[in-house]
This record gives sequence, C-alpha cells and structure tokens, in this order.
Amino acid sequence: MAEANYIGLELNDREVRLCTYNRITKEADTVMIRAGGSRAESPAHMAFVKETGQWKYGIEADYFAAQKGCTLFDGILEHCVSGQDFEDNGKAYPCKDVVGELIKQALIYAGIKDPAGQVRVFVMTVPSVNRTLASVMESAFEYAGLKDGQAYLQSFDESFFAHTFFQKQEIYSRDVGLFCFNCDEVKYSRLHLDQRTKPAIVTVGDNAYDILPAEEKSRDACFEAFIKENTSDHEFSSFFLVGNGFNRKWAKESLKLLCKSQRKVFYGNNLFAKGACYSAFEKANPHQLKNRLYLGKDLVRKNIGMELMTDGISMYHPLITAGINWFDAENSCDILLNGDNTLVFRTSRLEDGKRANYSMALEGLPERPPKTTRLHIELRFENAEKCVVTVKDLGFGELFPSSGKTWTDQL
Amino acid sequence: MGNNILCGHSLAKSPLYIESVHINIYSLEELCWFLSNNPALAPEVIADEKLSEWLFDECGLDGVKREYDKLEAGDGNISERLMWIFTKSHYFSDGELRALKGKIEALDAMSKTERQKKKGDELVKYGKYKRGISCYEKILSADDIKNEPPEFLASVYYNTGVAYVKMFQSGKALEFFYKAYECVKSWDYLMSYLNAAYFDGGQDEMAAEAKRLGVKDTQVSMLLGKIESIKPYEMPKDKDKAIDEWIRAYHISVDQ
Repeated sequence: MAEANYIGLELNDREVRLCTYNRITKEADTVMIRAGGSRAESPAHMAFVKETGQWKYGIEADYFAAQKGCTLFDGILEHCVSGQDFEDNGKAYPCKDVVGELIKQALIYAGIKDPAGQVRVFVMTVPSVNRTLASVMESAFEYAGLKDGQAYLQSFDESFFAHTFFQKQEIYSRDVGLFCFNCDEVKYSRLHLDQRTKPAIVTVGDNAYDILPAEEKSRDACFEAFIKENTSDHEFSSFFLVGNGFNRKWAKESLKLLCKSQRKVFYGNNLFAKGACYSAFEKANPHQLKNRLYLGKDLVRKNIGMELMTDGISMYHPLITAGINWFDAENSCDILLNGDNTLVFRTSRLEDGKRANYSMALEGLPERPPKTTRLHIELRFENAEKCVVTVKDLGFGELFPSSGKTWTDQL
Repeated sequence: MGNNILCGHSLAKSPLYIESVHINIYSLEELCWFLSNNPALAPEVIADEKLSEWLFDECGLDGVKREYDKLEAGDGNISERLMWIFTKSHYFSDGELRALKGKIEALDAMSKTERQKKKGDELVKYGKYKRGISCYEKILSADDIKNEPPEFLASVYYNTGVAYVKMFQSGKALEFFYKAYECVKSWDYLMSYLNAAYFDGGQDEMAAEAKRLGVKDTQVSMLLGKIESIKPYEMPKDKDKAIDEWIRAYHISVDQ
C-alpha cells in the first residue's frame, strides 16, 4: 500500500471514496474497499451494533443492517447539511460523531489507525459547503482524531481545480469542462484559467443542469444539445465526465462532439477524491497550484485588519487574509481600547485592492480610563460574503471588572 | 493612525497576587497600569520574588529574562526595574514613559514621611483602610513629627479621618478631623469636622461644636442644608444579600 500521509476523502449523498498520494508515481491512488478488489466506492452508510457498541461502515453497515437487524444510518451528507442528528429508537446519535466514525473507519481501509500520527494532511470534499456542514465537519475531524491544522474541507469545485492542475499541461491549455452525472441528471461546469493576472486566477462557473431521457437515442441527442449549448462559446482542451449515468454505449454523437478538435475526454468516478488528495499534498508542499489562485464561491475575497499599536509601533494588523475558504477563515485577538468607543476595520478587495473602512460603535461600553478596557474581537464568516464580528468587553481584570457586554456586527 | 493596542499575550492562567491591596493581576498591561497609578506601592510589588517568575512564565517576557535578572541581582534599584517593566510592556507611549520617569524620580526624591503618606493614600484608595491608617500612624508617631510642615500634618490627620469614616468609625474620624483643623484652620477641615460631629452625635452635637468654634448660624444652616439634601439611601430589595456583602466588604477593608 502507498504511504498514506496525504489523504483525500470524497463524501457525496451516496458514496465515499478515498485516495492517498503516491510519492513515487506522484499521483493520487484510489483505495479499494477490498484488498485486490476493483471497487473503489463505499456506500456512505453507517450502522451501530448495540450489543458490542461498535460502528460498522460501508458494505459492512449494509450487511449488519440487512442481516443483524441494526439500523442503517444513511443520508449522512444530508444530515451534515441540515445539522440534524440521527435517531434510533429514541436515542440520538450526534451527526458529528457518526461522520467522525465514518472518517475513522474509512481511514482504516488506507491502513491508518492513528490519524493524528499517520496523516500529514487530510482533505474532505463535498458537493458544497454551508456553515452548518462546516461546523459538523470541524467536530467530526476532531472526533476522528485529526488535529487542528491537519484536516480541511473543500467543495467539489475546488477539488476539480486541484485535480486539473495536477494533470499534464495539455489538459488545461484551454478551458476544462466537467459533466457530473447522477442517473438521468447532468450538471455542467467550466474551469477557466486567466493568465493575465499574477497569480493566475482560476474560476469554476457557468453552471448548467439538465435531465436526460432514459431512452438511449434521445438521451444521446439531448446530451449532445446540452454540450453544444454550454460549450460553443468557449475553447476547451479537455472534458471530464464523472458519476453514474454516463455510458459510451448511448453517448455516441455526444462523445464525437466532445472529442472534436483533438479535445481530450476522460471518464471516471474518482475525480473529486483525487482532487482532494492533490489539495492535501499541495497544502504541505506548495508547488503545482502555487501560482494559481482559485477564486471559488467559497473563497473570502477581502482582507480584513485593523490599525493597531504593536510593540509600540502603529501598524496594520491582519485579521483575515483573502484567498482562503470562508469556513476556514476565522481569527481573534485582544486589544486595549485607547480612544473612543468605535472600532475601525480596514478591508481591501482581493481582485483590485480597493480599500474601505468599517466602523463599529460599542454602545453602552462603561467609561474607564484610557487603555483599561480589554476587548476580545472574533471574526468568522457565515458565507463567503458575510463576515460576523463579535466584540466582548473583558474589562481590565479586577481593576475594572468586565461588564460582560458583547456587540455583533457584519462586515 | 491606530491608537488601540494589540495585546501581545493572552491573559495569565495564574494571576500575580498583590498582597497589599488584595488584587489579582492577569496581564502585564494591568500590572503596568497598577504600578504607574500607585507608585508608592511599587516597591513591595517589585520586591516580591514571585514577580520575576510571573513576568516570564505568564507574560511571555522570557526572551529578555537575562536583562531583568541582571537588574534584580544588582543594587536592587526599584526605579530601574520599574522602568524596565514599563518599557518592555509597550503599554506606554514615549511621552508617557518620560512622564512616568519624572514621576518615579519625584517619588524617589520625596522624604520618607512623604512616601509613607503616599503609600497610605494609595492603600485607602483601594479600600485597605486599616493598612492606610497604619501608614499614617507611623508618620504621626515619629519622633520628629513636629518638624513637619503644618499643612502636611493636617493632610495626614485629615486622611486618617477619612479612612475612619470609611470604616464607619465616626467617633475616631471626629478626633482626627479636629486635629487637622487644629493644624490648619481651613474651612474644608472645619466642615469635615462638623459633618462628622453630625453623624456621630446628631444635630445637637454639631450645633454645640459649631458654637464652640465660633461658626456663624448661617454657615451652620448651609451645612445642615447640604447634609439634608443627600438623597435617602434606597435599601436594596434583597436585604439579606446586601448585608452579607457589606459584612464581607467591611472585613476585607479592615484587613483580617
């Protein structure tokens, strides 16, 4: 088995896929769910065996549910998105624990029994991220034994980005198209690299969606039309097709269209897991993605900071640096107030450096002598656009007790 | 330009306990503020052997430990160590540091009795009335007390009286307010004395003393008016809790 330091794990609404980075081949290897087998995806299912207090994962969970009467926990991704816990016979199973167990057990397939010690970087990829899911995953990582700074979460779009730029250059010499199949549904997105900027900016967008008929000939025609509609205005060097629902057998004309002008076409199901694995490797060894900035919809596009006295010198103190995912972007600091009761935050946009100031008045803050009010400032994001600032009055120890007041605002 | 200060270190897990005023200090900034506002109490704090350990373990000053150790091992110059702490903290601006240096030098230049009084004043400010009175008594019982200027002595007597008032001992307060008035016949000292007489013995006592000291009736009426204009104290709703808190505060103030 390849050395399992950099791990990518894909969780979608049905399956789990795991990849580990192979330092010799410099590729992401898919971990098979059975040694010597050819099946790479596990059902995204868990089951809890009450008699032994053990959790079962994937096909084992299916077996125990079918044969031993255990309750099957499925719809795991859906639960993560809503934050809803699982329930079985009146007993609640926190979602974060179920996902944490899933991660632990999936890692065992890769030969990892001690995630903290054996994993250098772990990246989990999901279709999209909201605040609830991000919060559940943060707790699940901890449950699985992964330390702070060891585990990351990213969307499928970001995994697509990472996967693309770990391929040969001919693959991304122009735009790259992605078609994701889910039975009769097909989603399309386009990866575009803008080399006019430094770093080069990469976007994944132009999303489109269609439902294909089941009949093969119509299905092919429909898919061909879908391709034409979404790709005719751009130039592509390659296409990737992933998911269940695509088959060379029916996609005759559509494949011809995709392969036009010597475009490369790839079909597989582990693009996102591999992309997550490449991201994991890149986080510890920045190289392949270094001069390319992925401007995904999860990315924070504003730098946020404050002008503060630091070691006696007035300077800009960064609080949030743009270019990271909003669910990873949080920071806090303590300051001593030395002036009026208004905090000023300075922001600058990633795209054009445009600056702005945001003032936050701390109404009702008790009057105290200068530099005797310690404030705890926390910044976190609700989504890529909305930064929530929370300020808490800590007073000044026993000299000037805290009022306990907090203020919240949005930047 | 940002004037707010970034706190370089998180709050101390183990605070520094300042025994003279029963206060826990949780950060270098708090220590600086306390020492700069109570310089007469600084020597005891600086001399505490736990301070050095606390500065390095809790306040992150370990990078400059050797510098401080040299100062500590030297002549024990309190002022030098104080300025070192102030400078390393980055809590004060350059201008504030210069002003503090001047303040510390002025304190060093004071006589022993002046420093003793300042210490008493700072203890009373923190509610340590008994300890404050103890400082004043050391001054008043010194052999060379008669060499002190009357204004200084009056101030010591007066502050002793104030400390007794805070301890609800109006009889003792009365005695010291009168001594302050005897040293310097000022209107303020007289009013304080008569006020104390009112609260100790009632309006009749106050009136009798006012007459004895030749205070005009109009002035007595004015003083009575001021006393009566003080709004009546509103009893808290939870009387038992309030009484417990007063008893606790009283015992802390008289330094059990």
